[in-house]
Amino acid sequence: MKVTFHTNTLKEKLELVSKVSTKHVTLPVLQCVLLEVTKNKVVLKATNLEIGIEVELEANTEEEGVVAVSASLLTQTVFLCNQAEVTLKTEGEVLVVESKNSTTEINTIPAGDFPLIPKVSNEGQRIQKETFVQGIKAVAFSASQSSIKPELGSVFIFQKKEHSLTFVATDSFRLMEKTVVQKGVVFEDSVLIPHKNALELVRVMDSSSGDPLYKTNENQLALLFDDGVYITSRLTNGSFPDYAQIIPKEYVSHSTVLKEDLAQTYKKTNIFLNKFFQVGVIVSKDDLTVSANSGELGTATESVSANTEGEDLTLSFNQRYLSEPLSHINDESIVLHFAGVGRPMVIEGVNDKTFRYLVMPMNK
Amino acid sequence: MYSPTHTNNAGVIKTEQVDVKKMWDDALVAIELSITPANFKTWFKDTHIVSLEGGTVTLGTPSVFVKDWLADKYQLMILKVLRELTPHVRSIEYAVVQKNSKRQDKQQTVNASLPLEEYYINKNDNLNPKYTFETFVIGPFNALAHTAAKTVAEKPGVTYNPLFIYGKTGHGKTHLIQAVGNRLKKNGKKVFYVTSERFAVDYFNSLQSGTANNFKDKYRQYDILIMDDIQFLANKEKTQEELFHLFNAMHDNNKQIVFSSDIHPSLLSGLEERLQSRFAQGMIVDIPAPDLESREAILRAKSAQNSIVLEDDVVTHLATTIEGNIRELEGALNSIMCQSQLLGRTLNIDEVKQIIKNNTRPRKTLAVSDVVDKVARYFDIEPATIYEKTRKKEVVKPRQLIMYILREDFQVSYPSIGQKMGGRDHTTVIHSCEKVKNDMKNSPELEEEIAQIRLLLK
Repeated sequence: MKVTFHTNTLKEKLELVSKVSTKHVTLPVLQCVLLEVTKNKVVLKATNLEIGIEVELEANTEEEGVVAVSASLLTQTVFLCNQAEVTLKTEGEVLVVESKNSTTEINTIPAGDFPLIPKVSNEGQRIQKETFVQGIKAVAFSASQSSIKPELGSVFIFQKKEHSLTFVATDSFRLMEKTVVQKGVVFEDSVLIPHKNALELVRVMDSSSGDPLYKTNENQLALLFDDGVYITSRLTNGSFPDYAQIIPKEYVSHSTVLKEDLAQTYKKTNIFLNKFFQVGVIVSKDDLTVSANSGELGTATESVSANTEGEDLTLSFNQRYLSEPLSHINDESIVLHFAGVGRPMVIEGVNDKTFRYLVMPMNK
Repeated sequence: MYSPTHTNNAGVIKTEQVDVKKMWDDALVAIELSITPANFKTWFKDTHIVSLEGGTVTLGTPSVFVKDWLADKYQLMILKVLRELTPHVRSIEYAVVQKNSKRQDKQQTVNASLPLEEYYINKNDNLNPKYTFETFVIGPFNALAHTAAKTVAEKPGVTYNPLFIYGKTGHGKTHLIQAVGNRLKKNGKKVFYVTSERFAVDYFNSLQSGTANNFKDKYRQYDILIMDDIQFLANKEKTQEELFHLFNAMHDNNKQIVFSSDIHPSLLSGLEERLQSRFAQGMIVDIPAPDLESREAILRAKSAQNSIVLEDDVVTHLATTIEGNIRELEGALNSIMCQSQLLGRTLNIDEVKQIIKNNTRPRKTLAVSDVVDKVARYFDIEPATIYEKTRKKEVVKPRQLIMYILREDFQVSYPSIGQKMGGRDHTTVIHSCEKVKNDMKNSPELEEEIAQIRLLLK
């Protein structure tokens, strides 16, 4: 195998691909990037058995061939190359990376061990990349980090209304729902993407150009971009809980506050959180009082001016669940809807009605 | 393809499963020796044998990556190892089966969790697990439909294909056809339940998004298709055409199709003839309104399911006052259940009557003379004779029926019924009502007569 690349193109594509390969302890070939060199075309592949990625790029091929080589070694070597062109060639079991006045030899791994990357072979449909990315980014933080219930560790995507997609994630303590515009997109079936994979898809979507073709089958989802990037993820097999029924139908009070005020407040109470991250929230007519009591260290009490309609209330929350969503909300003012003690609290935007965040209070 | 020899009883299946597990464990030991530990851990972890049918082993793998890899690289080795253990293994197929870990969430937390519940209805096949043959109450009125459904569940695609069940709303069609689905699903068949309305929407969506082929493939993959309330396809020609092709494709491959509708297929208006004739080619069976005894049986079964106790006279009262629709019976039962939970005790007959009165449809108030006139006309006697003090047999029976109806349907008090029936004592009235009630249990003809009279009074 012998092929010459524009260094910058190779850098860009390697960066895209190499993040997928992991330090897989048992199978060294999973740390590799696979280079398939054919006439005028090179395909870079990597997989961690959760996600598979293939990237095509143009190159000047002298000799065809296939080689698997450690992704991190190759990436680091190419990144430190400051020449316009770089040549990769195999010599026996070794890959030689050559540029003007530099030669690096990297040991290869048998390419035959490299896994097959699943293909989703149906027509698919174009989705709108930007809003799809928005949807995932807005909800993924709420997904469960534990692997016990895979459906809760996933981002749930389904079509609630025409020309839009709804994204939901929950770890059973809080839940984020976001609806984004997807003109002309029709989802017959909902999908559950493991949240880590979903974020990986976001990364690839952000660095690829144009709207991708979206394809799914029973077990896999795939995105195909016009610039020759193909990425596929495993789907979670299972059903997402019926979350619509837990959204309160009636509230006892509504407080409107400025998001920034609340964010500042949480920063201060954050210093005195106890091991449960507990904060007390007192809702009254003109303000919202947040207090933290760490026991040994001390206490902090902060008030934010708020416009409250309805009953006065006192509740406890895990502060992480209150502060995390704020960075994913674009609206300046938000409304906190309280359904009463022991019932979920709902956060919505004053102007931005595309999201809804649900959080359960603490028991004591 | 379905093979009739596969209707094993549960015991046989069980021993086969044990063998299959041991077989794969033995195979894994052999495989572990012949490949590197890294490869073994990566590719054979979480694999298991899903089924062994006619020499074909289906291997369950945790993901498509593993599935493709095993099929590509290890096919020959796995086959060789399995053959050494079980010589009749001929081929291997692969499937992606994600194991749901059964471990309990041990996370200690003071945070209350959102009361998230699983969808009660399975999203993959739309079947409601509540509807099974075990919970289906069999009476004379639905025995035929039940037998037909049971036969289909035992020999899908062979005996009655399609099975067409029709009957009025609330007679148990959906329960029966879903029970077929649930039973076949338990036997490992791919079942799909869909209402005709959903089918039409699905088809329409697929046309709009240009994925008609996906739609075709989706429905053709099932072993059993159950379509509820087919009457809603009336006048939807394109959808009917699609159903026609789907029907042919499934029928040709001996795949079972079950339909339900509210009327006989030949009376379905707005349905193409070629579809109607196809519905008729299997078995058409009717579920009529349940008779009194069946209604009592249903009430007893439903109250046992909800673990509430009903007195015998309460059951009889409910069964006699609420006719026809099982759903209304359930509704009445639910309100009784709710009330008795509220009071924390079993309700007596009077309280039940009170609840039922509020719940059943308000009846027109009729003058007593109207009832007398209509009943007299029904039995072809002079209305005046009813009021007379005669004990002629042809008068006594209508008179008793009138008293019964006035009491049960119009809640007229015993003394005032007696007074209006020509100055009779209220004990006479009570006796008459009891007599009619008792006779009704033994005489379906009497029940039928009362039903007809009630129709006249509406």
